Amino acid sequence: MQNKQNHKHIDKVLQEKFSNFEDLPPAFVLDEVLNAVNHQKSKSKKLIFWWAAAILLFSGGVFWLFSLNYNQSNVLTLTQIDQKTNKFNNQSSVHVDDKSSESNNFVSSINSNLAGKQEKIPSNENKKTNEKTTQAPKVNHNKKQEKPKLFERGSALFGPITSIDSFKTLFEPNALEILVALQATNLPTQLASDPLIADFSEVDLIEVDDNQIFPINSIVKEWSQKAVEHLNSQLPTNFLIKRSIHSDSTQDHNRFRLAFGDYAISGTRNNKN
Amino acid sequence: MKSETQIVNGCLAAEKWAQEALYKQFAPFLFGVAKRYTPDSDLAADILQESFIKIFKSLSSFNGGSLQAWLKRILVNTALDHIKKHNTLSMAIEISDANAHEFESLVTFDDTHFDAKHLLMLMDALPTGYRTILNMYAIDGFSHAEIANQLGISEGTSKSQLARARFALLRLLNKSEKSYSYAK
Repeated sequence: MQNKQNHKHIDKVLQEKFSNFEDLPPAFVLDEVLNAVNHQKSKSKKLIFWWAAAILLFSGGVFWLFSLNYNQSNVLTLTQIDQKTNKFNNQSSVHVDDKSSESNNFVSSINSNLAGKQEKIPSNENKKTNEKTTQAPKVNHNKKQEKPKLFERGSALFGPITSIDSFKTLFEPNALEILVALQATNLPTQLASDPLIADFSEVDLIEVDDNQIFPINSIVKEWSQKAVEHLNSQLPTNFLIKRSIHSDSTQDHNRFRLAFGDYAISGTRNNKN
Repeated sequence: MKSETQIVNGCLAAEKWAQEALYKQFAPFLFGVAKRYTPDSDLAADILQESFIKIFKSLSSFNGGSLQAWLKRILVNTALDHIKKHNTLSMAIEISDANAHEFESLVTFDDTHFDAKHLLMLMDALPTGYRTILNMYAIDGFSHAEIANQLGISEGTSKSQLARARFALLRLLNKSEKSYSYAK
């Protein structure tokens, strides 16, 4: 029965018989494998997507908070100015929210108006201010990229409300200079022809005695109120002037500030002089 | 027909066609290996499925060489995990190397009348420990040291189990051959 010559070691027999042994697996195995593998892939893709979304959302939130703080910085700065210079009897500062394109258009119109009206004398404290050159002040279109420069008009210093350091120079503007500043805001003709404005333009604020400061203040306040109301009625809703004028008087000095848009003028007079 | 490299690259890119191609090319062979390690077809299918999931996950660690050998190693490891997990690996009493050598002289036979399926059927009748070590050593080329390491046994146990497994299989073969002769 058994031919001894055909005998092989069992290991060798097993190797030979099973080296290429194959059997068909059940059909469902392939589906199960593909489902498992591709489900895991899509799961990890989903995970990546949600992480990316969360990061994006977080970044957006941080950016929004940052820009919110940035927009509020003008107001805060004015508050700082108020605190430094104060005992003001009226809070005054202007905050202009210029985020919208409408407001940008408005600012552009101010700028083009300024280009026609404003005269500029280069900032130089040693140089007296009667020398005038024509150059419009730059309205701050790109607050984040470029810090607006100070400019002088007569003895008045015009500058962006950015920090107390950029606006610390004391000066003594007269009514005309104030009016120029007001006109620089592109006030409409109607407002410019208002008798209050005319009266106001006649008044030399600097010469006002301490005892007479109140009527002046009331005029200023009244004008301010009108100006704010008018301007706000003309402006897009998100371009709101919240406060526009600030003046005070103590025994030592008179001080006022008008603020509009991104610019302000301010003045101080030492009464003891 | 895509080459093996194209299929592997496709799998790495999570291309479904490549995954299917790899499966279709190697699944029958790997299922054959799985069936050598377990007589339970359902368990063999589970082992195959789990192995392919591991394969697709770890294909990036394939460094070239024989893809089939790499795949088989993954499947065998998966099969051993299952065997160990189900605690079906019972080892017989260790026998000495001398005795093992005695067995060696007895384990030759005429394989003329046996095909793989017949042999597989006989191997399925072996205890799990015997079948596992016989598979690992005689067919899949593990050394006794590797077997000992994989199964958590001593090398001596591995050798004695192998000797006993060969002898047991031979007895089954002889019985089967007699049946075959009688039938003839």
